[in-house]
Parts: sequence; C-alpha cells; structure tokens
Amino acid sequence: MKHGRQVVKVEEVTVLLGGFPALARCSFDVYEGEIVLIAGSNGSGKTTLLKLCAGVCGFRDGAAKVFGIDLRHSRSEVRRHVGYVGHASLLYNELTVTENLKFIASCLDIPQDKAFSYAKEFGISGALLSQLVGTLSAGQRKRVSLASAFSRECELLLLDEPHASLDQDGKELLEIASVRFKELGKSVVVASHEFERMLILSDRRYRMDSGQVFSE
Amino acid sequence: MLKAAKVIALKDLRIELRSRVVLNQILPFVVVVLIIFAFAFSKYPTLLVTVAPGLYWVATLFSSLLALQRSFSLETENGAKDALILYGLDPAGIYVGKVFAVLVEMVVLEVFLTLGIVLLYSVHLHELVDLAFTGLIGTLGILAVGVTFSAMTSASKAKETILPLLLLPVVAPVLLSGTKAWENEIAGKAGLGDPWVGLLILFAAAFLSLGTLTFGSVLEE
Repeated sequence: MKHGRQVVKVEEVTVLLGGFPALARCSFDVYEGEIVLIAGSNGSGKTTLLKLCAGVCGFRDGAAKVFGIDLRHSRSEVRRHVGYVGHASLLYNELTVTENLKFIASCLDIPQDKAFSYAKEFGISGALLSQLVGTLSAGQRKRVSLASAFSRECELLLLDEPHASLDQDGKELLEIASVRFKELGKSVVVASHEFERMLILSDRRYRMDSGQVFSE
Repeated sequence: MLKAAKVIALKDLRIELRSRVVLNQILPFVVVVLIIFAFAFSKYPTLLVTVAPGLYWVATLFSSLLALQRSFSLETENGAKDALILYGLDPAGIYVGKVFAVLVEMVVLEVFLTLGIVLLYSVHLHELVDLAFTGLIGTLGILAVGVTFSAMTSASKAKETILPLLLLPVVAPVLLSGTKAWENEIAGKAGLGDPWVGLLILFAAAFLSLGTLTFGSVLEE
C-alpha cells in the first residue's frame, strides 16, 4: 500500500564501510503516512540503510533523496526532518532524565512540555524523571530515547531495533505511538527482528540480505 | 550559533558540577606534578623560582589534555555525538560551547595551580591581572586547537595517545610564548604590551576562527 508523496527514494545506492559494501546497489522507498518494516539478519545492512536515510552516513554510488532533498549534497538539511533511534541511547548518563529531556528540547527548539508528555506516554514519570540516566535500566533508557524521538517535530521516524530491551508494556506503547504517528500522515521505518509483532502494523515490508533490499 | 554554544556549555558544566572530574581527578594530578618538581629541585630553590613559569604552562597543557579527553568522552558515550549531528545544532556553536565549558574548568584549575606555585615554589606574583590575562588567553589557544583535535580523535580506539601526539607539537608556540610572557611579568619587565602576549592573542584568534569554520566537517567524519 503506497500513500501520497514519496518521502524516501534510494536508488542503486552503495555504502562502503571500511572497504566492505554494507549496502550494495540498494533501492528502497517510503511514502507519506505509512509504516515500513525492514527485516533481516544481523549484518544485513538494516542499520546502515537507516543511518543513510537519517543523513548520518554518506554513500558512494547511486542516488538518495529524503523529502526531495539530495543526501549527497544536503545531509544536514535532511536531518532537520528526520527522527532516529538507534542502538545507542543518545543520552548523557550523568544527567537526570529531566535534564536530558530539557537538553534535547533546547537543541530541537521544541516546547519542553511536549518532551515530558511523550516521556509520560512511554511510562517515564514521577521519581524516574529525577534519576540519572546512567542508573536506569536498558529498557527505561530506550523508553526515554523513543519519547525524545517521537517528540520531535519531524515527518519521518527511523527506528532501529526499537523493541530491543523493551518489556511487553513498552512494546505495546511503542506500537500505539507508531500508529498515532502514522495517522498524522507521517512515516515510520522500523528495522526489527520482531517481525511477527510489526507485521500487522506495517503497510509494506522489505527484507535485507548482504546489503541488498528485497520488497515483499 | 550562540544559542547552540550556550546549550552545549551549560550541559557540559552541569555534568562537571555533578561528576567533579576536574576537581576530584585532574586537580590532584596537577598538585602531584607540582609536588614532584618541588622534590626534584628541592636542593635548588632559586632554580624552582626560575622554572616556575615553564612548569605552570607544562602543567596547564597536561591538564588541558585530560579535560579535553573528558569533554569528548561524554559525547562518545551512548552515541551522543551522533545526536548532536542529528539535532541539527550549528557545529560552530557546538565548538564554541565546548571551548567555553573546558575554559571555565581550566580557569578553576589554574587558580589552584597558581596558588600551588606560590606556596610550593615561593614565587612572588605582583602583576596578577597581567598574569591572569596571559593564562586565560594562552589556555584559550590550547583549547581552540584541542577541541578540534579531540573531536577528530574521539572515535579512535587509541585516542589517549593520538590526542597528545597531535596537540603537543601544534601548541608548542603557546608553551613558549606563555612561559616567556610569565617570566617577563613575574620579573616586572613587561605587561600586556609584551610581544609574547601578542603572539598568544594571535594564536588563540587564528585557531578559534579556524575551529569555528571547520568543526562541521570534523563532526561529520
């Protein structure tokens, strides 16, 4: 199912990491208002593809555009429209949850209330807010990362293994937030091992193997 | 740029206030360095007075290395450096914020360092304002280079050794000019009009400009 305008267009892209082709002539697209699932084994290139779309990593051959912006020339412009949650939490261990959320809100120029309301939605509230991030469990850190990514005023969310470390409750909250995000006409790309979980929610699915993408 | 600089500087200083790495780890290192030299030259107290300006700048340089490494280890932990790129903060602002935060930490350290030199080496300081200005501008020069190099080496596994190898040769002019300027100021021969102070100002201005212009490319690598 394809909706509206094309948000991501990756054509025949090759990304080399240390001489190794992490993406090999890979083509991939995402449309407005859809949830796209990417499945694949470890090392298949899922993370590299998401980082490419987030404007974090460059590429060698091919063409890639996000919101019509050429990733070869304007990666920093693309980043303004994209939220990304990766394996790392992107948080500071020696700041409290509140301080981290305030810092992120200041960086992104979004109201602090918005960041806190998403944190509450992901079950981060009360005493947890004044706890140092370094003392949180991996699942709690993931919840804070997800809350900060969802609170961005972005049109495209790239979630790399978002279910990792989350408990059942956390996974359900993530799915509710993803569906709500999609209902706003925004797009979500999820790279996940929890294929069965995301299958029902996703509009389209891709499978990755050896740096190549196959549509399902 | 200033908004990004403020956000980064406040964040770094808040983390330092909580962790107190500068006060609890780097300051003891500086004190130990001063004491070791005091023991080494204990038979020649006049020599200690003579070499005190050089020791001050060597201690400042080494403690700057530790403070810079600490500053960027915060960003490599949990991939926070990627977050700064993703948030779309002005790279020049990130650079200025980092320089400012480490400068504040170094100023605190240098107050203790100066006290140590007075107490342990019996150096009489007269032109305190001149000495403080020279210390500040020299440290700014070291950090102007150091923040760029720390960002470049922060992802390397051998960052602890690569950073000194890169930084020390480049900031050698600061060590030389700072030492000469302090010698002259302690001897009451020259003030802020000293050409060595001029060289420190030129060095800091040149590398601050270069760092502000190039930090975006450094972060992207």
